[in-house]
Amino acid sequence: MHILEVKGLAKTFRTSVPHKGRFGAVRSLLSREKRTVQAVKRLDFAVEQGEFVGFIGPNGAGKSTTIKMLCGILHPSEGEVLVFGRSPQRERRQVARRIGVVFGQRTQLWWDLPLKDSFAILAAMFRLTRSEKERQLDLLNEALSFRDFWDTPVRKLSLGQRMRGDLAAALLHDPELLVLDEPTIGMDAGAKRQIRAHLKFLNEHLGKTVLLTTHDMNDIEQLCRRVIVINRGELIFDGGMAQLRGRIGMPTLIRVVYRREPKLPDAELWASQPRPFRIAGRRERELTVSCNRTETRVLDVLRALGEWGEVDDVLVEEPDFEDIVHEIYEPAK
Amino acid sequence: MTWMGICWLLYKMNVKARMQYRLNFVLMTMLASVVTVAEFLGLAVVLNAFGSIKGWSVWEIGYLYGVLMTAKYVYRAFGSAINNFEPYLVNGQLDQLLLRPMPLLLAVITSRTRMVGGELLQSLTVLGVCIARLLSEGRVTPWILPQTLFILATGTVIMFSVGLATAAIGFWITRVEDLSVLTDNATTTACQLPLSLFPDWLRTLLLAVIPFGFINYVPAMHIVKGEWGGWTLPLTGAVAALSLAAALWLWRIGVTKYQSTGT
Repeated sequence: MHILEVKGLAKTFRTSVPHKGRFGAVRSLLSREKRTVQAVKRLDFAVEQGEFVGFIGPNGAGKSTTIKMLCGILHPSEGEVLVFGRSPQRERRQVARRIGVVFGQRTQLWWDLPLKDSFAILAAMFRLTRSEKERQLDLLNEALSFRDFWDTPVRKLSLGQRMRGDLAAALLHDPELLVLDEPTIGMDAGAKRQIRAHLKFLNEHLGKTVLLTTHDMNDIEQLCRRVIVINRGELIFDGGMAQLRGRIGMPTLIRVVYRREPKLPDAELWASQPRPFRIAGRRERELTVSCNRTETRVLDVLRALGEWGEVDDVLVEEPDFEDIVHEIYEPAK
Repeated sequence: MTWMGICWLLYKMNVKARMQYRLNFVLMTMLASVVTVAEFLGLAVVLNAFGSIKGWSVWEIGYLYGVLMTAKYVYRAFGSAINNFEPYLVNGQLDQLLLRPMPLLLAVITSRTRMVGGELLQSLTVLGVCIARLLSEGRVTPWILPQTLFILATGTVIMFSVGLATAAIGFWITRVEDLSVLTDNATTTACQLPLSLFPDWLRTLLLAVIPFGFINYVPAMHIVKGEWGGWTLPLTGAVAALSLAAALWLWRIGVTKYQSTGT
């Protein structure tokens, strides 16, 4: 059984059309014109137990809408979603017991009360015994260190502290599936590293399945083995990280510095035939070439470049993950 | 912990949260009592000036008032979140409640508590004084006590049902604050007086559409005036049960239409 299965999922919102011109607001109030927004057009994918999946897309792609349908907050217009084989719409409470959700922009904690009270309430709701609760809190505290601000009202916590509290709250009932919507938003580098380490631990050692939505590409690079890219409500890519790079085929840049002026072949002659690499730029003794790593070995390129002069220094640059993803969001025409 | 235990815990936490803002808490409690006392005094002055209205004595109208207001405050005590449902829809606060492993309606109700001690005391005092006066005048039997308890229960259910239906409509139109003023505040004010004073259309509205008339007027016609038969009480119970069923049905459908907010 898949942990999570999405079949033909679609969600359409109907909003009123705002009227323009004079008395626009009043006319909007009285009009019955509706506009349909297709937030999610058609999604199909499945997630197995133990996977760590990155769920990315530009703003407005339909990520949050999809996540809300997974949690049972929204009802799909078409298709279905199954979590542990159950529909989060029909069996919301059973599903809620087995998933942990963190919305980066909104807190699950009780705003006016100390952090410890939020945990007390959640432990009661999830029917945890005192010892279960204490054991889980100790475990979580090792990674998230929230006992430091245990007694502080949530409204007085810094963003990073609140996020750690939210993460702990989502994990208190030891769910098998974690759904995280921008969990590291607003955190400093140290806190991010800590959270990433803990998520990695949860996935690799405790076998938790994680679905992560984020705009921070470092999160994806360091944690995810599989990436799902969605844009305009449709699935654009679903596969591994290496596959993602390969699909775009963005060139690897190789910069070589020669000891003396290199003897380059005739430019026209060079360009007239298909070559394993392309000359991208030249500045004095520095030469930049680009090649597709899936087709050509860097070592072969260096050997060819070495025939033009004595190579003093080499720098190999992979395209930034951010650039790769941007290419997928909006392929350059 | 059982469901009752969890509800009690949440209630305690809500009160604790309110008391975090100590000055605000004290002021609001005092203010609420002052407002309700002033409201009743206004009514009492008018009644005193007229002696009686269309055959209803001051004490009988006071009974109507007492039942209505007690039902209202009991409803507000646990149904405050339903009465002020708009923020849940506009701010997407419902999302976090949908993630909890409890029935949504229960989660909504336990998310907000309103202190009604002072107001409840005032309405019960009015009710108690009027009942005592009616008993001493020999116009009613001691049956009035269990009967009043019964209609207080059905009255609270009717108020809650109307409030729930209004909140559920919010799933379609989002802004329900103004609708709530109409279905709750306006109707309550109207029902402070016997419905026989009103024109037919208003009476029909308050009996058939928004059945607030069944909170105090219809049962009081039997209990206090003795003009209508004993069928009024089972009818009131049926209206209460029906209203609740209808409101819950509307709520269940509304939840599937919830749109949340953006990120």
